[in-house]
Amino acid sequence: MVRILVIDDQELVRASIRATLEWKGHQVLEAENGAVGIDLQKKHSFDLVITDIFMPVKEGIETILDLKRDFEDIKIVAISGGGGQPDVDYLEDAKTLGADKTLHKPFSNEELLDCVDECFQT
Amino acid sequence: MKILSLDREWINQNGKTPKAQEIMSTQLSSFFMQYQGRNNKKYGEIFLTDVNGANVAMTKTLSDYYQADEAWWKGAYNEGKGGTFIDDRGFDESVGAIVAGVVAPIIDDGEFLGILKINYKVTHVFDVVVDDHHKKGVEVLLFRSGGDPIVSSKPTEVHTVSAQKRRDLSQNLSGWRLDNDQGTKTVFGYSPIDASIYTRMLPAGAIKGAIGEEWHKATWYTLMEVEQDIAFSSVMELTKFYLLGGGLIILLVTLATWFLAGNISRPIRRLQEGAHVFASGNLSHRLSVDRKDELGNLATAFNTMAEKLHDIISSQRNLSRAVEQSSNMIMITDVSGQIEYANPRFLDFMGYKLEEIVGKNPQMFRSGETPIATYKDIWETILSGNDWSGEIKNKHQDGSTVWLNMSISPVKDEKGALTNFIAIHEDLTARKKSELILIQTQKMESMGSLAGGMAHDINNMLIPIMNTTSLVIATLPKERPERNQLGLVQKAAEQIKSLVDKILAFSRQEPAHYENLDLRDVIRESLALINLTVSSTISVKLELDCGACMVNVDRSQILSVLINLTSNSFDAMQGKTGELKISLSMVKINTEYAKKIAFLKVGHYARLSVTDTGTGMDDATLQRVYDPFFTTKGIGAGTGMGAAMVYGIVLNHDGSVDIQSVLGEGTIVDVYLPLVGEETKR
Repeated sequence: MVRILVIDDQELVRASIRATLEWKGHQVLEAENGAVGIDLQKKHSFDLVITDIFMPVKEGIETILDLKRDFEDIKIVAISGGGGQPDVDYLEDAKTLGADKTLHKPFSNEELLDCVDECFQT
Repeated sequence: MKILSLDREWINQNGKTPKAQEIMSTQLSSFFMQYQGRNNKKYGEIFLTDVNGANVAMTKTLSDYYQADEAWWKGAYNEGKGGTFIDDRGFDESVGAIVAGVVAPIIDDGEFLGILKINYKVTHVFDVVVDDHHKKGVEVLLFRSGGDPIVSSKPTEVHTVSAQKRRDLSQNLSGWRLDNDQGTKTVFGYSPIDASIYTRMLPAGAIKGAIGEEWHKATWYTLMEVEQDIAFSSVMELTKFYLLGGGLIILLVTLATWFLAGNISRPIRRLQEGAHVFASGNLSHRLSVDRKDELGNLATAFNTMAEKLHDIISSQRNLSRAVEQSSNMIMITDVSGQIEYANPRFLDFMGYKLEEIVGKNPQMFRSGETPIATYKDIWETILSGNDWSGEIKNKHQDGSTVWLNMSISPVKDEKGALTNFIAIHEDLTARKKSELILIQTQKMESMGSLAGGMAHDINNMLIPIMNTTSLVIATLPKERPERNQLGLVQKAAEQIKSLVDKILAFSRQEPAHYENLDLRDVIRESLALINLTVSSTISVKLELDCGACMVNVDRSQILSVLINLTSNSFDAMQGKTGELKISLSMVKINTEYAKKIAFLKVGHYARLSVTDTGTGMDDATLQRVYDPFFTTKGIGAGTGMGAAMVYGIVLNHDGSVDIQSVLGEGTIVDVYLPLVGEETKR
């Protein structure tokens, strides 16, 4: 069982990811943006944060930088469905700046669960 | 046409027309007047026509405007070869003297510039000759072959020529005769003048100097008449010393007359010779004028005038050459808008010959796509004497339309009256094309960012759909039929996902992975996929005999391009037999080529062509073919993203796409990708 925080501005996306993760037996909380997510992280110290990139209030890249700075052992998975500047791979940037894994939206349940497992294999 | 109507007006108004005034006020006319004023003992009227016979300069307003119907003009024009003409005009009231017109063409470097006529005062020639002979009892006369006198050394006396004399003169020979002139016994000698001279005849209804004159070749004679008493008295004295007989006296008179005829005819003949030399002369090789006789004088006159004329004509010619050879398209109309002239560049561009448009109204170029209000504005502006400029769409001779920037300026005469309009056109087709490209680019970009944003949202929403569905399937026992039903949801979601991938490719939101590849290998690879979908009625032909064709591309994107293009071709040939050809060649794009195809730059490209024998497309479809979500296929049959994606991918590879299609015949899609080489490295 892994304690996981899902940060995404889309409620349906969060709920769907949460359903998959809970079905696998993980413990999950949700946040609708980076700022709420960081507050929750400070209270609950999750093992893993799954965060979207494009979000209002506090976007994903900034959130990843703050989390990595304040919580050394935290694992991060960045997720994105594209958007923003053409030809810029934001997930590549997220990986460079501290994300352990990345997933292109849409991804399958298997890809999601494999990804969570891989974060804790090393 | 115009010359003749000006001529009629001129004759009707006795030369009091604006055209006559315009000619009188030219630089050349004032030069003629000055010249004539300085040499008024020798010269009467001087005037010049252009090569069409219209007056261009004159010392006095002539009786008509158009001279090409005159015998002297035709004689000097000599069907463009140039000749000379001396006309015996008789008494010219305007100068109060008997004149002969010396006419010569002005030809420079084989080009016929015009015809110059100088009326030469014959009395001047005669004065010189008769001065010494004008003594009492000796009379010198100049006669026409018809018998009427031209000049006499005794101008106050009335001369009649007896029938016998007339007969003698008509023999066209030199001779002598004893005569009884009104009771006075005389001896006279006569001799013809050896020069080609034309005499004017005025049949009934003819107007002198204007209409109906006839000119006939005539001979001039000199005639010297001496009273027998005087002649013989001196001869008597001579015989006293030299014992000469009467026959010798007559011989002496004859010789004197013959000599005198020579004296008179020589300058006239020289005038003709001079005109002849002048006619064949090249203005840049002036005839020698070092002699001090009549020929020298005339040559000087011709030379001076021709030089002046040449200056004026060359400046006009430079101007007209400038118009003729201008890279601008120039058209000149009269005040009513009738076309008078268009330069070759304009004719070339519009696809017409000069004779097809002269005399017509520029309305013939209307495409129907320029608002009527624009034409109204043009006319109001230019008729009030102002310049107009703006963009109009004209109709080419072949029916196609062309964009022009047109500037029209009114042309005014020295009094400020409008005479013409001059229109200068600039080809805007290329600029309009770049504007279209710009619009297309902007459309692509805005569609791209819209599509990108949509793709992002759709990708997000696919997660709850796909993942929740598969989660439910995973939790359902294997025998439950709901698993199959939910499978449909999964399939639909997969299709949405593939559509989003295409949108992202078009909107360049998917990062590409470039590598140097031989385009032939990518095509061969795609063929396996293409063959899976092709119907058996269609034959697929591959033409890859171009050698290694190295391009720096994203392999999967180029595969998508090929699959999309071939799939469109298959759809266009659906239900029919047909041929699909994929060919590859290497092309060098020059400036001209680059202008024709949007986004192409000068350089080396691989050209991948997909040719089908399908239904083809009309112009309206072609224009929208790259628009995202534009499709001609039925609802559900196509996404409208195929061509847009192809375009997006190829542009992202610094290439371009060119589609040519004929409705009912088929389509060729050319995909240009930059070749990898020294000069084409990315």
